[in-house]
Amino acid sequence: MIVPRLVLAGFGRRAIELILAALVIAALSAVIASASAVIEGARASLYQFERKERPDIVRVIGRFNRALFELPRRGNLPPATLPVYEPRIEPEELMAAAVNATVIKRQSLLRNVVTENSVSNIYIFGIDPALEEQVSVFHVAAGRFLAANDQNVAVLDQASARSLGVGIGDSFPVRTAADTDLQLTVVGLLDSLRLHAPPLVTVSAPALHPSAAVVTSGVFVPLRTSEEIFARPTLTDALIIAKSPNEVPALIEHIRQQFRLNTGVFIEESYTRFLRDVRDFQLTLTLFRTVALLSGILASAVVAALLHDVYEDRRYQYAVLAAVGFGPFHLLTLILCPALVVAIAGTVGGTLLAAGFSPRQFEMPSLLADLGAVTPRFNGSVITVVIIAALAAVLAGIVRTAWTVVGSPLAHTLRKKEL
Amino acid sequence: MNNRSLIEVKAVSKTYRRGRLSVPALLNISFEIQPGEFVILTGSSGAGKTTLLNLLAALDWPDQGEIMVDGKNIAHLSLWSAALYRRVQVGIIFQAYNLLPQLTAIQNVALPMIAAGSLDLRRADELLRSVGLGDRTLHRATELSGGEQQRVAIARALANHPKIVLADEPTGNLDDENAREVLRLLIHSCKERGATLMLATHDIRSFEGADRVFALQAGLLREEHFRSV
Repeated sequence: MIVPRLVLAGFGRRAIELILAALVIAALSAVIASASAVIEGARASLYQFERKERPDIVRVIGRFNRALFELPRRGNLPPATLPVYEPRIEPEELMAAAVNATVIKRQSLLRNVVTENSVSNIYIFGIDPALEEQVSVFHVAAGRFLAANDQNVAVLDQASARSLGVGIGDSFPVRTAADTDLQLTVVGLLDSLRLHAPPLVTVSAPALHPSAAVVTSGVFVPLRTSEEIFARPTLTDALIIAKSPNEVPALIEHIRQQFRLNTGVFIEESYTRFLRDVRDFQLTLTLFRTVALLSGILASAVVAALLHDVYEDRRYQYAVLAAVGFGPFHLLTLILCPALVVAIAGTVGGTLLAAGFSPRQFEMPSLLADLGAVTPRFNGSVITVVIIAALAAVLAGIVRTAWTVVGSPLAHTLRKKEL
Repeated sequence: MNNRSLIEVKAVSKTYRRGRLSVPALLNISFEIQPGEFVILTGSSGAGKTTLLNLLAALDWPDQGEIMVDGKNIAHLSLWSAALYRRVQVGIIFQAYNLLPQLTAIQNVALPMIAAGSLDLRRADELLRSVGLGDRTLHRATELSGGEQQRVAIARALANHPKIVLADEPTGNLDDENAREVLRLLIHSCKERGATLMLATHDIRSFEGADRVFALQAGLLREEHFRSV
């Protein structure tokens, strides 16, 4: 019974200031919790949009291959494998340019199979399977996807498989640049796929979505197999993932410098458009953060001032306790406890208030990005921010008293009281 | 150092500074006190009595010199060591009593025991009885008279069996009758427990029974040869 009375009793009229401090913390917590929940929701919307747009990816491509437009429509010509883009990208140069970034190499090829009455076109993509799956989506309907150490195997979509008349375990020939046929064994069939930055459809080919403007089908082989087909390691295109979108401008500059003498290499990025699209949204978000921060600082200052007055009055009691033998840890605990009680009461009350009365949807302008209404999110981050704000406020209020009692000669404090 | 000395103060000086102003409180003071002695510290206001008691209680730090208590220099103890020293070795009685108003008399007496982690309310009750407050144990400090509050302070000072009791003008706020009673209780309690008592006072009645009397004047200490009549 003695310790609770030591901690919580004896405040006299200053107890009103403690209650006031708890109410201000409640208001502070409610404002910060609501604002943080909206900010969290907005960040989630932004994150989803970013995941969709991938502004962190820079695409490097060779010039589109004119040979694609000159495919023979008639005649008994031998089958040919052509690059979709010109193979102008030296892997070493690309790696040198992409410092601290992930490089996803590709060789995009088109094979035309000419028969007496028709021309059948198949897209062939040489990929690094593990890296490609970071940006593209492959849904395997049968068999398996490519593995890192595969050689001369292929995974293809069902439309292409039907066109080639092959199934799992079957092989089909691909004409190499050395004018020989390379047998590829089918290890997997895809019923859907979504390539990141696929080539545009320029020739009719079997496709899972025939009306799509971009390629939705193809034969996927490991990069080393496509290099064998193509008889060269140069890439037709590549995706470079920056560590963060903010690093994209510097990354582009590096690539531009690296390929400045190669006029057939182009750089595509979505970062600039992404920034333009989400600018109004981010501005509002920044304004929201600033208002929440300023409100927090103002309320914290009020709480700190109230608690400071309360604790200044009580300082002599702590000095007496120190004089009768209470140690620093014991004293700091006694000093901290009333402030913590105030902080906890205010934080819990304010957070519940915010959770109960915050709007379920919050409209933030996002005209170009069209992110829709933001759904406030109460999660661990929100709770952490609220707790940190409340603790900062109460600690600011007690720090002077704590320092005076624990860190400076007690005689001063005791003498002031006696005077 | 004399082997029998409990307290040995060696060339201790203390100066208070406020801005450019320096006020010397103690100047090169040295003395020894034996275990169980009753020592009076007298002198006019501002002579440095409270400063000396604060240094002996490790409530303040000297600018120079050593304060040996039981063979250990307490002049510049760490926060933890100073707290331990005050908890175990010293009992302090202030002129303004310094009781906590939200606690009862017995709870105030129990505070040093809580600090030491050995709360014993029965002993606290006995201590209050020994100072004549057996019937006031559950009264709050604010419900007690000045004399009663000072008696509670005496009981609190004795709570952890200290070797040294430091009393800073304990009768300064009391009327004659209460002052006499408080002094009697204080001296008797310390004698009974074999505690060394150092009493800062102007009150000449306190000198009776004192083993030695130190007089402080302008920061300088000299020993008076006082004999009660």
